[in-house]
Amino acid sequence: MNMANVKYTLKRLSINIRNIKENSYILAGLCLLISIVLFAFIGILITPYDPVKIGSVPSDLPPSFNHLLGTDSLGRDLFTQLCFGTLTSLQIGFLAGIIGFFIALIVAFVGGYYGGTLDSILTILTEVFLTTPTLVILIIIASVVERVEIPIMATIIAAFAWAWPSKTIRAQVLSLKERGFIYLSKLSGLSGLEIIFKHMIPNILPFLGSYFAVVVSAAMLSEVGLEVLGLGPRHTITLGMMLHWAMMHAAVTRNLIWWWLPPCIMLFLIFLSLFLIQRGLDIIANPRLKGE
Amino acid sequence: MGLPYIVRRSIVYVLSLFGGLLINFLAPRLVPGNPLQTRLMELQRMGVRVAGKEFIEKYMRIFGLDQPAHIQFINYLSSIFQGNLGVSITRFPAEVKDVIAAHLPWTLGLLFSSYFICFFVGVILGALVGWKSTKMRNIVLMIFIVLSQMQYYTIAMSLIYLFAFLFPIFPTGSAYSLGAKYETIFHQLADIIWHAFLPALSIILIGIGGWSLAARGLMVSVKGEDYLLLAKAKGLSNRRKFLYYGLKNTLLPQVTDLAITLGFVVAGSILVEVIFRYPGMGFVLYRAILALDYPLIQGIALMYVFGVTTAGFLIDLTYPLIDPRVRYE
Repeated sequence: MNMANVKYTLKRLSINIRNIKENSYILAGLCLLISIVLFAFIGILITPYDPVKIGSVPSDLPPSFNHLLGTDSLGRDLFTQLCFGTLTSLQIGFLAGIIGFFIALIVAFVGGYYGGTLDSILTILTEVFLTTPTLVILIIIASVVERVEIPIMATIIAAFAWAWPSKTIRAQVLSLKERGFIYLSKLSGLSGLEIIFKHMIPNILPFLGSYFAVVVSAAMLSEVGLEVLGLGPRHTITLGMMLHWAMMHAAVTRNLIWWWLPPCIMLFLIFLSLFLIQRGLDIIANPRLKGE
Repeated sequence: MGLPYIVRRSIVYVLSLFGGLLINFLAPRLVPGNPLQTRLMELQRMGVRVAGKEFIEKYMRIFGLDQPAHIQFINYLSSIFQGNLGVSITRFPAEVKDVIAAHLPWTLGLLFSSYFICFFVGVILGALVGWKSTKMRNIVLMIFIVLSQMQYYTIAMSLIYLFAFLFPIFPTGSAYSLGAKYETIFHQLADIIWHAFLPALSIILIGIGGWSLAARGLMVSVKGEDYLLLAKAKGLSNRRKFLYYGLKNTLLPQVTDLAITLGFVVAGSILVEVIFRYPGMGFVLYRAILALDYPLIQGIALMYVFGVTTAGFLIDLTYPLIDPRVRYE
C-alpha cells in the first residue's frame, strides 16, 4: 500500500472519527475493553496468590480484604482466577479471531474476486461450515486432544469460526467488483492482488473491522462453551473453566455467589464491548444504520 | 452459481453430513496412540470399574481397527447406516444408540418448545416495537440489545439462583420429580412443565433479543412499502393492517434464519441441559466427556450433527413453499 493510499484511508477515517455521534459506540466499546484488560493486568500484579494451585488458600471463604472475591471449594483465590482467566480467555478469543478472520478474508477475496469454479467450490464449502453445529464438532475434536494448550485450542476454534464472515465479506467483494473505479484500475493494468490490497480493502476497512469483532466474539463463544463442558486448557485458568468448576461444585445452590457471578459479569462485559465496537464500525460502513 | 438451488442445497447437506462423519472417524485416529486403550487403562488404574478387555475386543471387532484406513472408513459408514454406534464405556454393556434413544425425547421436547415460543414471541414483540413509535421504544430496544449479548450460562445460573434458590418456586434441576406417583396424566404433564420451565426460559430469553431486533428492522422497512399505503387507503383497521400486512411480512423472511440459528441454539441447549442437570442428550454428552466415554461422545455428537443439518435442510426446502415471493433459481 503506498503512502497516498494510507493518507487517503486515514483521512476518511479521521473524518468519521470527528463525528462523535457516530462513533460513541466504538469509543465506549474500546474504553470498556481496555479497562477490562487493565483491570486484569493490575489484578495479576497485586495478587500474591496462585490461580491454579489447588489448596493454596483455605476453601469456601466469602469475600474479604485478603480475598477480594473469596475462595473456591478447591482452595484457590477467586480474584486471582478472575484476572488470570480474563486474560487467557481474551488471548484465546483474539488468537482464534485473528486466525479465523484471515481464513475468512482469503476465502472471500479469492472466491469473490476471481470467481469461476473455485468460487463455486469455496461457496459450497462455506455453506457446509455454516450448516454444521460448530460446538458439537469442536467437542468431538477437543475431547480426543490429550493436552489442550492455548494455541491448539485457538487454532481448532478458528477452523470453525470463519464461515459466516466469509459469506458476508464475499458479498461485499462481489458488489465492489462492479464499481467503476475497480474497472478503471483493471483497465490501467493493475494486477488482481494490487486491486484487492490498494482499492478494495481500504474501501471496506470499517466493514472488515466490524467483522473482525464478530469473529472474535464467535470464537470466544465457542471457547467458553467448550470450557464450561470441561474441555478447556487444563493447566491454566480461563473464565469458562471458572464456570466449569463452579458448576461442578454446585456453587449456585450452595450460595457461593462470588464464585459464579463475577466470571459471568466479566464475560458479559467482554461480549458487550465487542458488540459496541462492531456496531460502531457497522455504522461507519453503512451510515443508513445511524438512526437505529 | 449455475446449479439449481435444490441441487446445491442438497450437495451442501450431504457434504455437511459427510464432514461430520469424517471428523468423527478421523479425530480419534489422528491422535497418536490408542486413546481408547490409554483411557481405559487410566480409568482402571484409578480404580474405576469399567468394561475392560471384553469391551476393547468387542470394539475392535465392531470397527475392525486392524484394517487399512479407507476400508475402516467404509466399514465405519456402513455400520453407522445400520444404526450401530458402538457400545458405551461407562454404561457397558448398553449400546450407544439405546442411551441416545432414552434421552433424545427430553432434548427434543425442551428444544422444540422453547425454540418456537422464542421465535414467535420474539418476532411479534419486535414487530410491535417497530409498528408503534412510543416512548417505551428505547427502553425495550435497550433490553433487547442487552439480552442479545447475554450468554446461556449467565442466564441459566442467574435463573437458578433467583427462582430456585432465593425464591424456591421452581426445582433446581432434573426433568421430573423422582419417585412421584401421578394421579392423572395431567399431573405428570404439569410436573414436566414445572421442571422444564427454567431451562426453557433460559433458551427463550437468550434468543428473543436477536429475533426482536431483526423483526423490528424488517417492520420498519415494511412500513414504507406500497401495500401498506394501499391498506391505509382502503381504510382498514389498525389491527388488521398490523396482523395481515405488517406482521405477516416480518414473520416470513425470518423463517430462513431459523435454519441458520439452529446450530447456535442447539449448542446453547447443551449448556442449559448441563447447568440444569436436565436429562437430555446434552447432559449425557457432558457426563460422557467427564468420564472420557468416547463411543458415547461420538454417538451423541453425530446425532446432533445429523439433527441440525437435516432440520436446516428441511427448513430451507420448505421455505419457498411458505413464501411464494422467493423463487430459487
